[in-house]
Amino acid sequence: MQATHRAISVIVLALLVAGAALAGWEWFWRTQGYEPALYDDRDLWSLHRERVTEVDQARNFTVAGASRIQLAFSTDAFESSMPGWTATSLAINGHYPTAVVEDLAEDDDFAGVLLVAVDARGLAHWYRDMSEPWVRHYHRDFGPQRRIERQLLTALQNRLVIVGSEFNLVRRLTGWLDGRPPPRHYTRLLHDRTISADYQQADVEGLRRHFAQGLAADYERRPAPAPGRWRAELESIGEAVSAIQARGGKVVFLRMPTSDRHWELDSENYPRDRYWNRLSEATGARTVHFADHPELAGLELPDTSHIDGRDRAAFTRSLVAILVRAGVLPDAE
Amino acid sequence: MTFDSLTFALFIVALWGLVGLSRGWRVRKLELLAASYLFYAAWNPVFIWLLVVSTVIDWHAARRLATTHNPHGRKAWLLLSVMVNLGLLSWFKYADFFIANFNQLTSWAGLPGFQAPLIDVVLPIGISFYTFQTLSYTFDVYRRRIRPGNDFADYALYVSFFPQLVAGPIVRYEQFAGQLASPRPMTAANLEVGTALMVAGLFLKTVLADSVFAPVVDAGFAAADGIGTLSAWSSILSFSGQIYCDFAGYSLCAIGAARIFGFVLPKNFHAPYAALGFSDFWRRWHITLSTWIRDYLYITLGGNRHGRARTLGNLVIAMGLGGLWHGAAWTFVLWGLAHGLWLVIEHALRPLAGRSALLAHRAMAPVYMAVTFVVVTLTWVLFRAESLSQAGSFYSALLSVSASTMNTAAWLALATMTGLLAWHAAIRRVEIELVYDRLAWPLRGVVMGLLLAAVLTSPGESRAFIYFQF
Repeated sequence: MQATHRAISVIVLALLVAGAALAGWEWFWRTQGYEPALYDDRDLWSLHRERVTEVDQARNFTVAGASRIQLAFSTDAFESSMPGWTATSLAINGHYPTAVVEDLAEDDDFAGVLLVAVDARGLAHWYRDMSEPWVRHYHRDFGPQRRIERQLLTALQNRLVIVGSEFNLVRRLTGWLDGRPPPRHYTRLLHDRTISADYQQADVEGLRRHFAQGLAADYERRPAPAPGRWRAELESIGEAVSAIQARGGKVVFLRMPTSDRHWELDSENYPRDRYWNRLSEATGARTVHFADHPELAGLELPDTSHIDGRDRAAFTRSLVAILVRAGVLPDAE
Repeated sequence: MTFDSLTFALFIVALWGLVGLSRGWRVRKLELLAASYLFYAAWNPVFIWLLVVSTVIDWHAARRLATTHNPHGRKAWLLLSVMVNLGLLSWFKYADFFIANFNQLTSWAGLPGFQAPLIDVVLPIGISFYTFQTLSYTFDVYRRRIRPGNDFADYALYVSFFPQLVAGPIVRYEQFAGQLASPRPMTAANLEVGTALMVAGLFLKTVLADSVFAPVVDAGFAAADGIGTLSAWSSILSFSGQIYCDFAGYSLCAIGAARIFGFVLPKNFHAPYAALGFSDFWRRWHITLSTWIRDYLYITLGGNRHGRARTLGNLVIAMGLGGLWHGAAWTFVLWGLAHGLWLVIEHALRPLAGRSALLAHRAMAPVYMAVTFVVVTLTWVLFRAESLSQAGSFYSALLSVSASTMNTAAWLALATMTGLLAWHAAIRRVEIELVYDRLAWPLRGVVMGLLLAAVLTSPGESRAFIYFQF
């Protein structure tokens, strides 16, 4: 065989072997009941962060927060309730949003409505920098190549099971040796970076215990600052609110619902009258507390902190109605 | 743009097609030049100007160096090149390091009012590599080892050629100029070897460095304060594997990417963990950097020309500065100084080996190999630690005896590291490309296919190549 033919044969054979191995790997996991899934990361967040300043600011609704709002808010439901508006979720699972709010305040191109889903605990100094690495990534590392890379990755994640990090060959090898199959998630990341949860697939009792124990331990490890200190430390976020509102934007702090032991722990550590109720005065932003709105307080919270995917549209429509009544959003009629 | 990205896969396939279909060597070179700038701009277009400034200044400085005969004038042109390149490097890479140390000093001196704010400047990717590459050009012209190039576009391609632009190998002009002079053969054989090198490099990076070793290393160093002895050893041995597979993997990808366009870049690693001593280690580890430090730093300091004490001092200084090149932190400086110290000790002990038949016996080679590997591995603690206190905690865990267990991932990492050591021992005198050439073509295809499949089934958290931060 000629050298040229031999070299081409090697490459073709390699592609065939790799293709067959990948097809077999994909087929195996599909036969085990796994489906393609989108995975969140800082590049995907950055894509959405970028979009926030590209849309019409007069009809721009941006959501910052952590998992509670990420599981509750539906951009589709919002946009159908508010025709012509664009909704974007910058919520980050497990990360309180102070750094995101301050970042948007520093961006002169942002002048939309910013809904900040947070509780009094999330505004304490312990948690101020949680989302800062995401903001830093957007400003320092996110560029043309990462934008394209993330779009390609999204296209693959939507089509192939094996693109998910849980199906990494080495992880599966150690998982197999330990008798641990890939986890089956009850949550699903959607194209708009919101999350839909199906609590019928979840160990609800286990989750309730997990949240209560984790929260109790965290309150011991990071106790609530004295109300005076807590309020003093709101100065920078107050400045962020002022900057956004001075440009014509609006900022609303939303206290998402929690229930049962979760709500008891929150109330014991951050009594509403000494913390949350001082937030509006300290920052100049409007506040919405779930307990003041029966349509939010009445939502079922299977794990005491998050709502089921089937309630997302209802939650979002209720939220829109509350914000319209508060004058934050115009009446869509 | 990183070699382990989907974007790069599309980029190189499209570029290979474009260059392959183009007629005329000059057109092809201009396409490669434009693609190299696009490759760099894909990360952050703003920093293209740094590459342009470095290229233009060194191009003109070198031409002046070649035509100027006045020694003072020549030194001035050399100084301009050094100041511009090291000035840019210092500003972007070391400014905050100097400010933080200044603040610490004023704090110790009881002058807390003299605190300067940190600049928090973004480190332009690859700046450490391309500044060293262009400096080697002006140094060589200054020493009249080479004549400056006649074609600016050729020189610009030498500086910015995308395979080696952001993390080496650090290529000398004399290694590249000849290749620019005549058309490079974009043959099927080069395509095959280049692809094989890239697949092997990606396997080292994504499968071994990122999937096998990194989780064990990260877990170990995250728990440095309370880690047990066994876990500490498994972590640092895994880091030996991770840093090698990460950087050697990058270098292989770079060499492979150049090869498919017909270019040959210098080898950067050759079985470093099979080194017999520290001099041998540095002949095998990051070869293009260690030869750069030897030629332009150690020899400039006087090398071995001024007596034994000065020679050893020069070694330590050169290695310390080499450590600082890796990162703006005292941990890197100490890592470099430690390697300088090991070289000094080796120099001191070398006469003993010459006088003792036992020490010079071939059977001692595995002992020297093991000692070198263990000391190199222990020295990696300084390289990996995020602070001196973390390094201290880690060393105390390594050298104490405390109970701990290892999980499956750690056992797998240790088994892989053992395999890697055996592989290095087996190939320490062998050119791996010759081994590849001797394989039957179906076996080459199957091996390449399996490695590629392993790469593509190893998605995970995006971990930048470690040497990108340097």
